[in-house]
Amino acid sequence: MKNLFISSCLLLGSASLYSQHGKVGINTVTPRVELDVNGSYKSSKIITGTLPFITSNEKDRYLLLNQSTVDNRVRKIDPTQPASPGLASIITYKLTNAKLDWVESFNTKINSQDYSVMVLSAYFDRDVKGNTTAIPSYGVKSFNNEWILYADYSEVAADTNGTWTLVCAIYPKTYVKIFPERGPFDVNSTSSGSDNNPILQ
Amino acid sequence: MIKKLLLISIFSTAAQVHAQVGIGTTTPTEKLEVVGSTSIGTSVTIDPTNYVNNPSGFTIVGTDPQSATVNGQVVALENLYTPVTIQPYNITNVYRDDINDLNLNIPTDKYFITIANFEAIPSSGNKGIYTSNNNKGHFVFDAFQSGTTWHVKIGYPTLNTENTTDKYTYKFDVILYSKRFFKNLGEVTYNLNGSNTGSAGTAPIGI
Repeated sequence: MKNLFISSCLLLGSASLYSQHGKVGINTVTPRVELDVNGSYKSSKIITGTLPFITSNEKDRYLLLNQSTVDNRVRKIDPTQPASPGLASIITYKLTNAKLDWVESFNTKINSQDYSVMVLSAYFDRDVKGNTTAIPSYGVKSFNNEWILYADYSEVAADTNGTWTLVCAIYPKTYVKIFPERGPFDVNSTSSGSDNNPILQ
Repeated sequence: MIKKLLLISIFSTAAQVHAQVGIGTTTPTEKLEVVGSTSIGTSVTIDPTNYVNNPSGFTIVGTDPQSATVNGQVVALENLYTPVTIQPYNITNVYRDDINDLNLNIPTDKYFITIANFEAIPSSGNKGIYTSNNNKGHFVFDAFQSGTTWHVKIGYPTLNTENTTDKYTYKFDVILYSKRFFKNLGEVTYNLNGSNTGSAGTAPIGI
């Protein structure tokens, strides 16, 4: 009976189903685990047992998985491949020869419907002068569905045209949500305030 | 005869629907239930019928390309070895206001870093950045690569505190983005030619 079981094998159209020592192979005669499919697999839902946590051996080599919204296939994320995006992209914009210290708008051409962009840090490369001091302001705004960078020291100015360096993160909106602006919060000429109804998912 | 029957029964299972198939179990509760491991050689396609709707009730999954028996074992992240790491720093006794080169010894081949949540705490008697004229200087806040590691430069390079005995404590968070998950598009330079407006030719490739 055991021999018969091992030797039983079927041809189903172009695919083959094999069973050996309690392991089932589809399109393979040597299943390595309980079910080994040499090919692709489709279902409406996958339920697994509790997955093993990443171990210290795996911490420097594991990759993340995603599911394509186009063909529903599960793929690994590998940003070292030229055409493969990461969870996010990090880019540094160096804007040279600006009008003194002022960049009113620099169009990154990044689609604001599909991506969110954040300036993580920024600095200007030379002294600014004036009778008052100033707080630098920089960031992104969406205009005509494209992300626009801006940077400036208001009230003070550089003597010569300078360079702004802005480090930005670009996130696909498929998993980074931008909520509508909260506020205005009127702190009534005081120095503190509180958002008593924060938006949390 | 037994062989023939087996053939028919498996063929029927494959050809028909509404059956529940168990591998390693005689009481499957799903359409296909495997007690043990499953390996898919080429690709997995899942119809998008279900979405996460509980923000604290899920974990992200990864894959180990070098796992034993079969490569590509699916693993859970939980709170170990996450894609983003945040490392708070507390740098005390900074001479006047200048950190010119602080080597964090974070390898540049594995990580991209940025600085966030910066706080400057002056020492007693330190009255801040001193200027006797209209030059307000400029504040630099830069994470840069030098050799094979990340370094940090923070301060007013052209201005100083009033006294050489003045000190600062700088607190900041370093965000480490692993290059296995985040795409490093590097530095791109655009010359604005003295204008306050400009435009990239196209959006960055590969985002």
